Amino acid sequence: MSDDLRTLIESGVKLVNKRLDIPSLYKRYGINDDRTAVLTITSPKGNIGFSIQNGKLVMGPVPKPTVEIVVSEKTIWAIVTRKLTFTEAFFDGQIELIGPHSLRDFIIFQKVISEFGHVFYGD
Amino acid sequence: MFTIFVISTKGGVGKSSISVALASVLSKNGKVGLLDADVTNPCINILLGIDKTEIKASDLIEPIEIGKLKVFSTAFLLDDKNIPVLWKGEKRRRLLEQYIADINWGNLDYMVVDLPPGTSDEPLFIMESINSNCGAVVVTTPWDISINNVRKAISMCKKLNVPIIGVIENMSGFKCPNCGQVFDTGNQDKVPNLCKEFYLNYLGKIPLDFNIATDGDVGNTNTLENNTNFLSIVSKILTYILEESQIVR
Repeated sequence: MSDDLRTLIESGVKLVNKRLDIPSLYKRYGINDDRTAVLTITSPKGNIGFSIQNGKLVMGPVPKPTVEIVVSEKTIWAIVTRKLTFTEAFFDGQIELIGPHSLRDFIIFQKVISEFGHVFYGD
Repeated sequence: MFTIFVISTKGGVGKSSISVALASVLSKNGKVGLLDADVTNPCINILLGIDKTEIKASDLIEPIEIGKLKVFSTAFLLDDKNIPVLWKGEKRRRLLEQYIADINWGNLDYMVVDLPPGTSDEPLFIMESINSNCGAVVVTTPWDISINNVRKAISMCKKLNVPIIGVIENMSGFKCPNCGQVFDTGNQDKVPNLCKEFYLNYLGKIPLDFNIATDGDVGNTNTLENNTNFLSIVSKILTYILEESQIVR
């Protein structure tokens, strides 16, 4: 994992927790509290990721998440530099959503990213 | 709920237009679901005039509602129409599984499934998953290139024990946009003969009508929905469903 991406993700997680009210986001989109999501960014040098649990983003995984999003470092860079959209990456197979209700979770992530992606985009 | 599969192994024969018009007509008297099962080339959004839409998802995914019609298509998930779906079979199968289980279809009287051409993943999975209280409507044009192809669709339904409601002969004859006269384009006996060969109901023919094609571009299927031949076909489909449900009872 490149140091740049690690810094970006760690800073992004801090910013999201500071600026965004995740419980209200859950309420707005009808997301149940028992839902947990993990984003894992894969890289030959090691994986990194964060989870959504108890209304906060935390670095690292949670046991048995309801959905796991697996994406490569290369794809994440393409998304944060706006060369690729989340939807495009999902449908061309660069993002894997692992979980029994991955479509529902994709729709929720699509909304969340369109609304809050600016934190990671650096806008 | 009775599920109607609109099937043809040949592409471009009018399955989607027929699916949309059939669902629309049925929804005038009942609650109807319309599922675009063509994951890689969805198009019912165009025929329904739905350009961009916001899909809601909480515990279940909400379909788009147009009166008593509930609709879902992969096109509703793509925020850019140039995005291709580059998924292999297993991923498409998992998506369709969720189209059946995770969409809030509610209590429906009819579900119309617009199947993509071919005999592989999507039609195979859908017909294997919904295998009771269902029937297939086979769509073909009167030309050998289509007829020889839909033989496979017919055989597929038979192998999967999906009853065939009947065969629609689409784009049969050309309706002049100026005088309204329908000109015979030949091959009149081919689809009825196919039905005889397989002991299937011949549901009727729909002419190649310029207005049916242009309706699609402006997001409706009004000409088809009001075509007397088409309405007669819908009536035959409903009679079949009614008779089948009485047999089941």
